[in-house]
Amino acid sequence: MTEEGTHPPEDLLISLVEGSLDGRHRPRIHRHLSTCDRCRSVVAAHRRLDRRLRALPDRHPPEGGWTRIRSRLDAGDEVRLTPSATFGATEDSESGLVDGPGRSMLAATAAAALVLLFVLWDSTGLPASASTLRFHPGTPSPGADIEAEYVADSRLADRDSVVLRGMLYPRSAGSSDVGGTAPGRVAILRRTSERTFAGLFSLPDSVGYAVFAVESPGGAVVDDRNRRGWEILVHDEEGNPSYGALAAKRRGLMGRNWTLALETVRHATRLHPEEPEAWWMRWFMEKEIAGPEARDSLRDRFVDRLRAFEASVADLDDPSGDKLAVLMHYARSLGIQTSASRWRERLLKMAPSHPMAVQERAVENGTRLWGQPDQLLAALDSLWANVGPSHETLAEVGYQAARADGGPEALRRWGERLMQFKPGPAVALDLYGEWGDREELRTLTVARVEELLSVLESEPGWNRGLFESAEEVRRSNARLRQRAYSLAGALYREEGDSEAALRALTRAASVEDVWNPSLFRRTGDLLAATGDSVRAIDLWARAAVDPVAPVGYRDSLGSVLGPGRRKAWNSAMDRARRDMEETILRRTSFRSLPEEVRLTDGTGRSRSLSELAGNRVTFVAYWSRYCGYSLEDLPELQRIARHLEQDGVRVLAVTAEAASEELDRFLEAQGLTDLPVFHDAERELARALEVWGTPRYALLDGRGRVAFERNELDTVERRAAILGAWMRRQAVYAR
Amino acid sequence: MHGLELEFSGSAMDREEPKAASSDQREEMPTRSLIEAASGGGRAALECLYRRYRQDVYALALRISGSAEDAEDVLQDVFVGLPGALETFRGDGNFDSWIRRIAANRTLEVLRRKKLQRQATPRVGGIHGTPSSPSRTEDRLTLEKALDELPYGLRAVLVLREIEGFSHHEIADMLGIRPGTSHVRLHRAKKRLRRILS
Repeated sequence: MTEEGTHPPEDLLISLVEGSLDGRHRPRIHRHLSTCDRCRSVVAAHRRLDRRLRALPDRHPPEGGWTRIRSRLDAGDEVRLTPSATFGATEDSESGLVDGPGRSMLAATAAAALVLLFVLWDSTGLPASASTLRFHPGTPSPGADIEAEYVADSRLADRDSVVLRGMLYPRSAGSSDVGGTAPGRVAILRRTSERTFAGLFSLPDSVGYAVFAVESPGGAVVDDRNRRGWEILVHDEEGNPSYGALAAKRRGLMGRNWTLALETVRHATRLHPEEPEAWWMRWFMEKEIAGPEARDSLRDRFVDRLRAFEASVADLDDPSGDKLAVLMHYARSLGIQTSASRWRERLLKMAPSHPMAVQERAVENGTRLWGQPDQLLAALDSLWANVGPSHETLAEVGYQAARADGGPEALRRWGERLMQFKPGPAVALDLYGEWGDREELRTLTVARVEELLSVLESEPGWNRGLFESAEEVRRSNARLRQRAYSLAGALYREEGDSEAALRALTRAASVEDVWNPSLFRRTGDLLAATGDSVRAIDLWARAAVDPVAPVGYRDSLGSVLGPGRRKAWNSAMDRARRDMEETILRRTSFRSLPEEVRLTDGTGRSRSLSELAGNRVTFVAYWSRYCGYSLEDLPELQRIARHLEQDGVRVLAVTAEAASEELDRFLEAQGLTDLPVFHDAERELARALEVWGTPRYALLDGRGRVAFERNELDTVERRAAILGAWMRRQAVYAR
Repeated sequence: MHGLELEFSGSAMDREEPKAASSDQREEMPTRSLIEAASGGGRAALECLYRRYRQDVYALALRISGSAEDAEDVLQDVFVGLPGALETFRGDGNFDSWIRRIAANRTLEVLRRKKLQRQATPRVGGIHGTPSSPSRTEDRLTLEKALDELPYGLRAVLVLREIEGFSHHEIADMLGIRPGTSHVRLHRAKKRLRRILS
């Protein structure tokens, strides 16, 4: 760039985009850009290019790598490695592969400096302080450019750069829930000082709320601020968050942090009292935490609000579908059915294609025509033809109808529609499992399952959650891969291809990170039938070490082999035990409870959870006598509790109900006098464990950290037995 | 088929919802302890390091080499050679950066070894030669193809700087060039990439 009117060199424009442009050039470049379309488009292209480069997806190595490495190590293979260039490249060689002189002095100096840095760090040790992430501006306007500054704790402090990953929620109010974007890379934060990283990014105009985590490149280590993340709430010109932004925030928090979600809706009603949706949501959440008595007095206030909104909307000639739908739901949640019906009627009449109207129409058709499959499917197909993919309830009702009574074509058609709303392999596998039962759909299903497997194999991290590390998502996707191979095996068998079936099942059984004893047993049986007793023994041993296998099961497997195979069987059992524990441990991560939790015992005495646990591995069963599922589980729970207590695990049965004679009588009538019951009337434990429904089961380690949580009792005993044994061993070693 | 499926789902270990987990777990086994154990020949510790870093190493090698096959070779070489190389590693302060530097160098060595073969035969494979999936967008393919067209020296700098986040000094050290050269190559790579894409 020498004179006005001529174009600056592209290098200067690239420096501008990188933020490394020398201050001397800056005013002239900006002046030039304000008049030159061509250079502006070059700058835009480079910005775009940078964004695209950073958004390139992670690449995952193929499975089985460790086995090959182990074999090479066993064979005594040696590889010499070095962190610096072992060969020089001539400075102007772009290939970078040409032999040349040794590395430069500067490089050697830099390496020496790095070694010195390692030594300094090594001797002082970085404090494992909590990390912080700050945004400037902290309350940005829509579409703002934002600077992020991250101060890392010991987990990420040693990186040269870290990745800011986020989920962005659009500013939209209204009764239809608009979700956030899939988690994605927002910016690379580069190191600016010892523990500090910084970077810039632009928030899209449409975004009202965003939540972030910071991670190492590749996602091996994720700083998720103990699952809270860091957030940005967009503000308007007057310095307040708009209702759309607060609604976006509430959606982002629901199911993740219940307390903060409630605070957000309270904030929304204070700032935007004119929004009926804010009041509906506030009622929806507050009634959950209020006791039965408080709920009645609270309700009056919300009913008054509803009446005021109804009066204001009644005068409008053409109220929006959103408004009508909100009033319908608000009235319904308050139990005022006459109001709810009135708004429903208006919604169906004035906005029949509104997603909420479509939901109402789908449910109504389903209820009215259930048992008349032809009419029901015809009505739903016609609704779909008019409104398209408008609300998932329509697809769900359609699929249920097709499954109950429809032919294979209806099953496929509605299945495809359902998958538009619920993309992802988990739902697809459920549907394909059902399609495979219909002979007419089997060939199609086989092709679909094979296609799904190729996606799962080639992009194992495609669905990584914001707070999930690369390893964690790989493990959770391993379950899906195992299901897909199992299904493929079953389908091939139906098709009469027993060789392919055995191949698929063997593959399913060898998926790392999933422990599935019944699959091991079945695949072992099939292998034994083909004469492959070596692999069969390994798989049978994996089924036999299951700590919840019925008594005698292990011996029955071992005895099939006869005395000649005893040694092989015993060493297979040893291997299987080790693998089982490692598999369960790899899938376990520990999370601290957010605050000190207090419960009361049967005498009304307040006790802290840590006092009750007494540094022991603790199994918590959160239940309610008003919950059918809890009641169903109780006898089994009592058996499991006895088993775990024998193994030294502390068991706590917790209910939200306060102690009372009536509750004691109930426990006695159920024969549950052995179960140590504690009370969480203040819902402290419910909030800490994020209990949305009962029953809820959790295992805590000796330090009070949650190792797993689960709603069903099915695998609880196995995991608790395996983890409990491991944790106790750890505690013994730690002493 | 239904019977078979029911039996599988009966075990239900594989039906659990994926759990959003905190990363506290990693504090359980600090990298420093794993390094110590692995450098003393500990296989389990080496496997842990492999699980922790395989993604970083593989992704970096794949981006620089453009070949899934080469990236797999690099991944294996790095972990086969790691116990020996760890003897020269001082402290765990910067292990993440160190292992990626090791990986970058190994990749360039592998490429140099294969240079003669490449001169004799046109390059095949490449990133777009790896199994693709229906979800891969055209945009990504275009960009990856364009990256593939860059000479290794330019691509290595671009990948190390823009995707891996290394400084020019670090890149210079890894490639045996001057930091200024790294800077120049980065701009050259970006200019060339912009032209290929436009």
